[in-house]
Amino acid sequence: MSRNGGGSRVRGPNSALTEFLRERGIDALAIRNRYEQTQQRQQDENGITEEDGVVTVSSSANRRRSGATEAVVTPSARQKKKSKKKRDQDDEDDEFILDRISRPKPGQIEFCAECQNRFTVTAYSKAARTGEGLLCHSCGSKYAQEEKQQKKTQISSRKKRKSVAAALLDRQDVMVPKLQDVCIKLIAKYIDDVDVLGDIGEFNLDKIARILSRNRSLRDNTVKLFLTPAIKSLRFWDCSNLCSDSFKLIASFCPQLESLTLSMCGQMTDGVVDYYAEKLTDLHSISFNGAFLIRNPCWINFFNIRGSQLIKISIANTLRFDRSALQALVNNCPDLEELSFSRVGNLTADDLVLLLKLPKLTSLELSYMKEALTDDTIIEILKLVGHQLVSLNLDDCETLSDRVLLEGIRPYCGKLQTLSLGLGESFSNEALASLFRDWDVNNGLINVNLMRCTNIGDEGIQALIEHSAKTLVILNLNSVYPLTDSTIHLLAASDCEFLSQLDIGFIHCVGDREVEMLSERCPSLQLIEAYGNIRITEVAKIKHGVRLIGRQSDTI
Amino acid sequence: MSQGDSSADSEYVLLVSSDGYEYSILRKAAMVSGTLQRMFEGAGLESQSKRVDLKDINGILLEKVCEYLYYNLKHQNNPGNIPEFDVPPEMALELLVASDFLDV
Repeated sequence: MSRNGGGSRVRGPNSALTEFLRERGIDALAIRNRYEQTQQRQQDENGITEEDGVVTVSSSANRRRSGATEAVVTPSARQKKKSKKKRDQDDEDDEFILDRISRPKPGQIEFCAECQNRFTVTAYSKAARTGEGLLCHSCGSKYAQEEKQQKKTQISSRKKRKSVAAALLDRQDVMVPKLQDVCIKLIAKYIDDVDVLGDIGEFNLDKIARILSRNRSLRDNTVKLFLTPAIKSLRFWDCSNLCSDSFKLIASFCPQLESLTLSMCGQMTDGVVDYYAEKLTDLHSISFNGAFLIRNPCWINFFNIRGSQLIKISIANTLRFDRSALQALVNNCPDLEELSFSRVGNLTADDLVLLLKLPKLTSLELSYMKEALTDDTIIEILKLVGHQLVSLNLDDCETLSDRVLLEGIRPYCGKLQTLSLGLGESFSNEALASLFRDWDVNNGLINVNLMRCTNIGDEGIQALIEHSAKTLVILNLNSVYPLTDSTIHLLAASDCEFLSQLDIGFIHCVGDREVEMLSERCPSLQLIEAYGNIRITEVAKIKHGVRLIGRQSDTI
Repeated sequence: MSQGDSSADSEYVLLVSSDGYEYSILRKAAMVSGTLQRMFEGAGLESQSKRVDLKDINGILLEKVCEYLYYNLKHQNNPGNIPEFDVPPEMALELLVASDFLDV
């Protein structure tokens, strides 16, 4: 509540409470100062008047209660806490009430507590620091500066807390920003005025492209900035504003492309893909997410022409990819090593059998395609390529049963390092335990995702920990509800040297103690995601360098 | 350019731009830049002469870079509530190239 002392300033509408307080002359700052003054005085007199203090406690109990209801109308919570704390020291309350009662009404003539001059009391006259009177206008405005300073520091410390909390959510450390990042942000902001990006290195180019994608400013006029003839790899994460001609530009300007990643490419048409098939002769790696306009014949044509050189294919979010397209893929890409289908809705279980014709697969993803997944198909695929498979992602696999774990993964996946079985609600605790217990063919998993595998419990996860503790880097146990703290304790106690990212969201048993243990015992830990863990409070002491995200107490 | 100072805190180094402007800054500030750090701590000519000739960076850019080095030094230990570092947009591209070279 900043007052500018003396009242001819125009003021906007205020709440009823503010008006009430101002009328009565109740000033939060004055109350606090008065309290602090009397605290000081009390501490000095404490030795002498201890007995008196005891007497005053009992006798003024009544007065205190009545006073508390009317007088302690302080706006800030901090003050309320302070007044609760000092319930034992009632001298202050007494004085406070007396003051309130005896405060002179506006219009009366008073003597200033400091300079002893006469002045007329107004609703805005400030109370003296000593609590024993009011100040005239000039003395009151002396303190206005100080009060402003105090407010400023309050605001700045609040901003600081906010920025630290916000940065936490962004998973960034709040550090001094690098000059490169400052420049990149500026360029991204003024991108429409930029003519040519010049020689700034591929890494920075990629960074700018990423920022532009985030700002949705990757458009027809800005995309040209990234197309230089020599580049071999291009990644655009948000192509929603690019028209089909711009997509074609990519191929005309960068014919030497070997790896192309286009996400959110909804405007890409058949003509574009045909053009790519024609021009991009060095292409070996493609990733198209959201190319829903591309029809089957177009896919078939593309694979017919370029299939033989493709090593990595990733297609996501399209319904126009069915058996015929898959057949063309399988027939033309015998050397394919990495295949990823995500939300390719029109493939069925029978179609996926065709994948058995890809003997060189080292990485397979069939995520969010649960209708197409069956135990038998997956087991057959694993029988064929399991021994060389490094990464397996079957997110959203509730249609799969324990058989996949025990008859598919366990016997064949010796080289597996990344395993993602998110939303595997049909997997049972015992089966997971049997998978990992004494799984000697496999040397240890690096990246494991078991989010929302709600039927797994302690036995399964403990078997996983015993198997892969020495190799785990990323572990996601989000929503694995049945876990108890014995598993978390085991995790902390298992010397997980390389564990750096851990997601333990919505696991009820995880509280402050568990999180402290984890941050202490896992030397490489950098990130703990703890959304929905209501038992973690701001008290938890996290080792420096470990970021804990998602605590309820981290408010912005 | 103060030399021969035993305390590392007041040691200065010289950065020379392509058009001959010379900027004398604290050694500590120069160390914010990875490239400059390597230059001054390595076995090369620069570490002895305490002087670097930056033939690709002109005077105006170099001045901005020095400004940033001090800004970084000043706020290193104060996370949260760091004031923004202003850069005129016309300078942004060239400054990016320079800062990329200087690893800063």
